[in-house]
Amino acid sequence: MAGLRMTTPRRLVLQAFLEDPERERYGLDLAHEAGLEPGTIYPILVALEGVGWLASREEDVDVHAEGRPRRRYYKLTAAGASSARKALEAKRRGAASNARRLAW
Amino acid sequence: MVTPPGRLGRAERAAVWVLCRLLPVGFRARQRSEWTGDLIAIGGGAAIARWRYLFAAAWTLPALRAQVYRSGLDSPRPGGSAVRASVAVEMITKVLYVGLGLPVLSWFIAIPFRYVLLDIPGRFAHMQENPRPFDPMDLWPVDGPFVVLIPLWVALSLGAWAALIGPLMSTFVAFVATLVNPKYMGASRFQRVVWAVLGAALLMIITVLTFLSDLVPVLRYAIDRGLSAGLYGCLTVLAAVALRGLSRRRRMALVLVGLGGIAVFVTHQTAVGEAMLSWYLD
Repeated sequence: MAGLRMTTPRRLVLQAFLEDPERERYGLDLAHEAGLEPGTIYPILVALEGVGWLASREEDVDVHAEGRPRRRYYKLTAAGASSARKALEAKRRGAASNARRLAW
Repeated sequence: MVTPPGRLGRAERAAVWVLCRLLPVGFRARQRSEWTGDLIAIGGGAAIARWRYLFAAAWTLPALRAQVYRSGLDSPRPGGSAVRASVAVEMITKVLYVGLGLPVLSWFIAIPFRYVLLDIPGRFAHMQENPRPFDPMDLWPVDGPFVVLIPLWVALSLGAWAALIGPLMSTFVAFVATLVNPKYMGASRFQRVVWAVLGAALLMIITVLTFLSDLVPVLRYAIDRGLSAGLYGCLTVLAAVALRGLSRRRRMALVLVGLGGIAVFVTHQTAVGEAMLSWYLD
């Protein structure tokens, strides 16, 4: 699995997913949970899906009855959940180490 | 005017349409559904929130485009499960793009482009009619404010030499592989810098040795007039056809790079190519 640069928005999205890894979410819902500006979430979701951390599926509803297009739901894959935890942990360790260095 | 719930206003629909047109064809329908669904969910009474959403989407559009191409989602396979390129395929592709693409591009700019653009044959003919001091190589300004162009000239020259000198071409490809490989093997930045410095040193040594071919006669054969570039070009075209999980755009880019490598070899087998090489080597 190719490496993924861990930016702050990506970290926020992964944290939102890891709060309940089994739950599927759609873009707008996830942007609210992660505290991101709605509309900026899709490059992050595509990047995470591209490296296999997320899987997505289109919901199976009648678009006429719902009055909106089908939503695409995203969910962490097993490998994605494990990689996300490791990446977030590494980020936390890096931040802690920087803080200790700054203290000197 | 308040847009009824479940519908987008004409201007919002137009904005979504424009944004979608700027995305890869194979991804447009998917993203149109995402954006439209989100805008409907935001609600018809929240026009400012909708336009703010559209502005944010436009702001991040270049990033979205880049991620779509990188992920290979621009050409989804039937059934929706895209076959992704493996790490090995990613690595080989990058090595070929840079390892062959850069020398071919440098060769093109440094030799045929300058040869034709600056009318080198015409200058030679003129020089024979009106003999006076003239250095046909002195066509790249490096004095005064043009001093900033020297690094570019050095890079182009090294790249062009790599396309013409077999061992240099192979070393450059290996050098690029050492830079690309560690990224996937989780090497630290320090290790990558060490590899890069060692590779650059090796490149310089081979270049110097090639120019000392009077001392080491076997090195005369090192200038293979693009044979290695041609062979790498054939390999690249084969890779473009055979590697799995590449998007159509990346496949086409590989084919172009491969054909560029083959063009280096073919060009120097012609009379014009021979003249270009003589001019460049002189």
